[in-house]
Amino acid sequence: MKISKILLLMGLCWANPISAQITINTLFEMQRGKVPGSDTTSVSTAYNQVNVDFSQKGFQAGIRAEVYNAVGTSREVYEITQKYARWNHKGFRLEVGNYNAILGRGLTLRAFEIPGVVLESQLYRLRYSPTQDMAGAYASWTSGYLEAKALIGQPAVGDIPPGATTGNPPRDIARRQDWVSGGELSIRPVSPIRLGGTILNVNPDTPGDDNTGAWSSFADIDLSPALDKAGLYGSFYGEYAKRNGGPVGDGLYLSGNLGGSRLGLSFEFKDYDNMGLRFNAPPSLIREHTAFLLNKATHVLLSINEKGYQTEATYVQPNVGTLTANVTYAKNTLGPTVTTVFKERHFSFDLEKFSDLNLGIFFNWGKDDLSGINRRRIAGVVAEKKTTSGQSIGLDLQYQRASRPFGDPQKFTDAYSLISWKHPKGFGAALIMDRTSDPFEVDRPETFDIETGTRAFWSINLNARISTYYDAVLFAGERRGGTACTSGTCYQVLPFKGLEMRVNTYF
Amino acid sequence: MKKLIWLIIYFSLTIVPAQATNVSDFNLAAPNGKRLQLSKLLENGPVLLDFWATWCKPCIQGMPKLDEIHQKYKDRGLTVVGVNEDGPRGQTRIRPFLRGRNISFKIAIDSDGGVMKQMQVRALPTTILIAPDGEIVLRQAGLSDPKPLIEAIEMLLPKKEAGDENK
Repeated sequence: MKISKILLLMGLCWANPISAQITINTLFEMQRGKVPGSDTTSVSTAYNQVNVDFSQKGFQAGIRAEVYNAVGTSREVYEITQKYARWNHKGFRLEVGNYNAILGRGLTLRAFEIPGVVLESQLYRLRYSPTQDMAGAYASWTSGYLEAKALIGQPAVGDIPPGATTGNPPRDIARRQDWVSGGELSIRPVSPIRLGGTILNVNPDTPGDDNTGAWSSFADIDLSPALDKAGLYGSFYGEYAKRNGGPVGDGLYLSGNLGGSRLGLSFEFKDYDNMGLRFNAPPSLIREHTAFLLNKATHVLLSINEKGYQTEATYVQPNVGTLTANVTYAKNTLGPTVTTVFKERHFSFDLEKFSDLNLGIFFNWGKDDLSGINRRRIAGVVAEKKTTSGQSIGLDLQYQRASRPFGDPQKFTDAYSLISWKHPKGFGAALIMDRTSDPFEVDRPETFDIETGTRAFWSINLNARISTYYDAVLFAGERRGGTACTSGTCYQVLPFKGLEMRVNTYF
Repeated sequence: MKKLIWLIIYFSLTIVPAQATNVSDFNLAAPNGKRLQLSKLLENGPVLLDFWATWCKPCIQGMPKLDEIHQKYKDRGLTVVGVNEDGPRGQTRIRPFLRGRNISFKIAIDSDGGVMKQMQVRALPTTILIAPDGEIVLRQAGLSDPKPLIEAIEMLLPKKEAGDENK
């Protein structure tokens, strides 16, 4: 009731032109269709995320409400999922409520969310925005030579949607468990060097649980001032983390870069053992891909035990293009005799010679034992041609050959093709055909028969931007489920067949 | 709770875009460790924020145009800031990326994604043009036609004197 009154007050403020400074953003997604293998008939669902923010100079406050309703089912959620107040003044920031934060490079703590992603939980069949944020208080202060962060709060369990219940009669599942407190302190003894450490303590909600803590120390060195005379740049970052107070674990992350005017090199090394803390996210060291088949084949980090490296070289030839070569390796030791290996080699070339033509080609090969893929080759070409009227036509062709050590047949192929059209006014359309002979995808879970051969997933996408305030995307057809990744964070997407409309508004 | 949610939805759907939206301040690190504070940048004139990541192809395609805008308008007070969303790994990866491409506008690293959330950015790239008084003048999600952006920048910047054309 109290919050309602505050909202009403905010609404009145909005109606009064003197005060202004209220923004309302919504993300509305409506579906009419089914999840093959789970739904026997089409279901209409609506998800709406509403963010109301108030800002006045350095002060900002807001709430997020999430509403989900699957018509004709008991699946419905009406929740205020986030609320916050934030104050920024020069280098000082104070937040109360829900917040994002990172300590070091995320080995001990990383509170974040994946913007713009709406997922459906397979277990609870609820749609929601995945978050691993904190609810509590956070303060940070930055001066020229000193940086300090202090926080306390309850982390969200990212794969439990708001409104999830268990048992009969249904009981709400706590999305936030345990209290985490800690911080980070770093100093710059000289401008290019930053030395620091992080510390965390966990107070479990359930008495008797292990009280787990963690700490890390790091060094961040900018080598560019020393290399500048030679026309080079470089940097190095190293962090060692230790988990204690309960299950013991440790993690080492090293990264660096070195380059000149055209050639750039970057490298990363990881060695994580028992570093899955629920509220952290150690860097994955896996190359992020936007190409559909590559993105779907991304290796998912196992922070319980993973060791590996990534190195990438980029060569830019001005007015010609960019050549990228990447080598990634990861090994998981999951038991005395169980090890899995992920390997990836990636080459790509992006032509940057013509202002009206974008052309990129890539070739990628490797293996991922954890996904049961012992060999794969993926190649693709992405092109976009702009016409004199500003419209553009795009073509995206990707092909994969892969094999598994089990299943029948063991070898399979995937072909993905997309043709698109874009108008400079902000609307466009795309036709997508995704064909596979993967026996796990070809067999339809909704039938008793075992289908073989190939299966095609057709869809169309229409999108429109209507001024600064609205944009909309309409999807019709069928899409595969599986792994999808955004900004290096991977999640599972359910398959879908039907109609989907998304509308974003920004006021 | 339902009543409260419907109240929020009511406000979200009945609102009309007549109100200026003011941006809240942030303070982010640049790749060299120096800090960039939005309110300070706004003291010099309008600020164009471009949310991008090294793995985002449309972001990369749009960067030469942004650099062109930066070169053209920097002397008239426009500050272009590329807000990197590579996450914790950004600091390692963006220098090899930027140097080869001769990107000269300012870069800020949003390692915890806090500014992306604060600005309600849901897709990369997204460009947000902010007037010196903090008003968000234009928001473009996805690789967009630069014409409306350039028109909006021209509206915000002081008009060129007739003699300036010949300088």
